[in-house]
Order: sequence, then structure tokens, then C-alpha cells
Amino acid sequence: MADGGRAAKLGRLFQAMVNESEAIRLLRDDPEALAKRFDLDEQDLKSLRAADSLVISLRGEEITFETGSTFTANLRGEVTFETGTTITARPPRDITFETGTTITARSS
Amino acid sequence: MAEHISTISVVIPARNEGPRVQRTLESLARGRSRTSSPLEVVVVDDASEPSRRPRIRNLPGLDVNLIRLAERLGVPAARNAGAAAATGDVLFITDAHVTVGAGWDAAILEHIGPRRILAGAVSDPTSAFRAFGCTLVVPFMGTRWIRRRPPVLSAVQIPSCASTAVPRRLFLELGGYDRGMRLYAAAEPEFGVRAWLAGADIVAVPDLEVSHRFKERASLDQFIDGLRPSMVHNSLRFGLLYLSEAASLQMLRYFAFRYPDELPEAIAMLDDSDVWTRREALGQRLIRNFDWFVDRFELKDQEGGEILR
Repeated sequence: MADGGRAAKLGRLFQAMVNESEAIRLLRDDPEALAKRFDLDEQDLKSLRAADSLVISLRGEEITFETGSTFTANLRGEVTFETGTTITARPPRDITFETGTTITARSS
Repeated sequence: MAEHISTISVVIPARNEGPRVQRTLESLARGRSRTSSPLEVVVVDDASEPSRRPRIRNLPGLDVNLIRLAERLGVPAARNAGAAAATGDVLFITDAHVTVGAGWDAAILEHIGPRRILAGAVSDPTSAFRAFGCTLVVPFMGTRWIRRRPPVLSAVQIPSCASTAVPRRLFLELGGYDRGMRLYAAAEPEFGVRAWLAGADIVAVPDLEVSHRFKERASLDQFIDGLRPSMVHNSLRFGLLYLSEAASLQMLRYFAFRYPDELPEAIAMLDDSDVWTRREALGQRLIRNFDWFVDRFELKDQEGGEILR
């Protein structure tokens, strides 16, 4: 299990995140750019992307549900609506999330 | 297996628990079935505010050792301090606000073994909640309660922190709770995983039941307030000690989504820690790796997918 190379790669990434808040932003918002900037390979990028299936984050977006639309609440992971996100059902209708979905309203 | 195990020391971390500690002590004394010798109880006051320090009166049959920490070190460190001061063959690690069932000591001594850790049950006195240990949640690195009663001595991934019995010698061999964990969270599941990877067993003893006073929402929020960066740090540390490179990257991005406000501080704490050297040391010391744990318990990720290797 000992793996100095692995620790070194993650260590470099950590060092970057300590020194540059931009690295943390890229980690969340733009894993492709993060991978390019920190020399991560395709497999690393795939691993970062694997978090997408666990968390769906919607930031500052407007989501409108037209009648009959199925905003899929087929999302199994956590859905985070950050401050600024507006969800509108038009015309008014119920929005249903599947059991197990966590909805978090974050304050800014 | 010839090692003789006959005495128990109870280890109780306490911060701002005031009179509740005495009620826990009374319950321990009341529930004993073996009273031929005094029961050692080590209460570790984790730098409580003066007005809320543990209030303890002598009880027949109990030999209480109160240790006061000069500064707040957190639950894992308080437990380690209690274990270091204890002298019994077995440590029964519990909380400061519990009621134990009758014969709790007999249940421990009946089932404990030199390399066996017992996971007791935890119930809530105000509801029907009852759990029998925990399972690991990856890559969140938290836990879920096991709600279905398991067979006696069946394998449990993680013992509840309020009801863990561990041979003192094994606890010391394992190194206790990870000293790199800060204040609160993740130390208990990390200890459970490490115990398995070191070749120990953790088994269910449903009859060893502890009724635990869970904090109410407002009280919990107040307790956690200010601890979140440490909690995020601990969870990330736990993951980085054991997960594959792929799973570690997935975990980091997951935490970036979930805890964007706390992540920078947690990352800085990690950068200032021994996480990489400890990972290396554990890799050399432990006889099993995390893949073994995944296979042993057919572990899936928190959404039912395969854990990245």
C-alpha cells in the first residue's frame, strides 16, 4: 500500500490548494483545467469526474420546469442549490425528488 | 489465546457535561453483575468551562479517576488520555451521558478476546431508535447506523463510539485513536478500519446496550459550530490514509462541492500535518489494505456504485 509517488502527486496538489484558492475553485468547477495545470492524467480526470455522480451542484442558475417536464429527480446524489439559484415551476406544480436525495440550501 | 482478561476500565470523555457524568457513573454501578472488586472508571474532562465541569461524588464499588486536560484536545485525544491512565484488561469506551443495561460488564467479559473488539448497541431513550454499530460511507468517510439487529458475534465494520469494548493491550498496540485527528469526527471509523486492517475483529454484541442521550438539533448545531473545518479535515485525513489515488481524487472533489467554505482551512490543516508520512507508515505496518476491507464487507460507495481502486 505504501506509495510515495501517489502521495507526492496528491501532496503537490495540496500544496497548490494551500497557496492558491484558484486551485480549489478549479477542483470544483473545472476539473479539466485542474488536470491540465497540475499534470494529472486521463485516469485522474476520470476520478475527479466520478464525484459528479455523487453531487449535483447548481449555482446561480435559473431552472424552470415547464409543464410536463421531468427535471429529473432521477438524481441519486446530493443536489445543492446555492444562493442565487431560482427554481420555478411554471405553471405551479409539485417538484418531487426521489428518496435519498439531499437538498442543501447554502447561504453565501 | 491464553491471555487472561478479567478486569474492565470504563473510559469516559466529558466536555461541559456537568452533573450528567454522575448519572452515567450511577448507571454503571447499578448495571454491574460482578461486584467482587472495584470498577475503575477514568473520566477525562476535556477542558470544560468551569461551571460545567464533571461533578462527581464517591459511589460504592467505583474507583473513579478524574483527569483534567489543560486545553481542549477533542474526543479522540480525551479517549486516548483515558486509555493511557486505565489499568484494566479491557477498556469500555463510552460517553458521559449514557445509561447502561443490566449485566453490561458480564456481556463484555463473556465475549471479549485478545484480538476482538466488541460493538455494543446504542439506543435513544426518547425514541425507538436502536443501532448495532456502523457501516462506512465512502467517499464521505462518515458512517451509517446499522439498524437491523445482527447475530451475536457477527462482523461489524465500525463500533459505535458510545459502546466500544477493546482489550487495553490491543488498543495500545493499535496506537489508540489517530493523534492527527482534531477535536471531533472521523476518529472512530478510522479506528475501526485500522483495527480490521491490523488483523483484529470487530463483532456485534447486541445485548451490550447503551442508552445514549443524543443532542437535540439546536444543541448539536451549537456543539458543531466552529468545528466544521476540523471535521472536514478529519474526514479528508481518514480518506487520504486509506483510499486509492482515484478514490482520493473523487473524495477531494466531492468535498469541494459539499464544503467549499470549509475546504481551504481543512486543506491547510492537512498540509501542516503528518498525513503523508502516516499513510506510508500504515502501509508498511498494517497486514491488510483498504481493498481487503472493501472486499470483506462488499462495500459500495455512498450511492451504491463501485468504490474506485
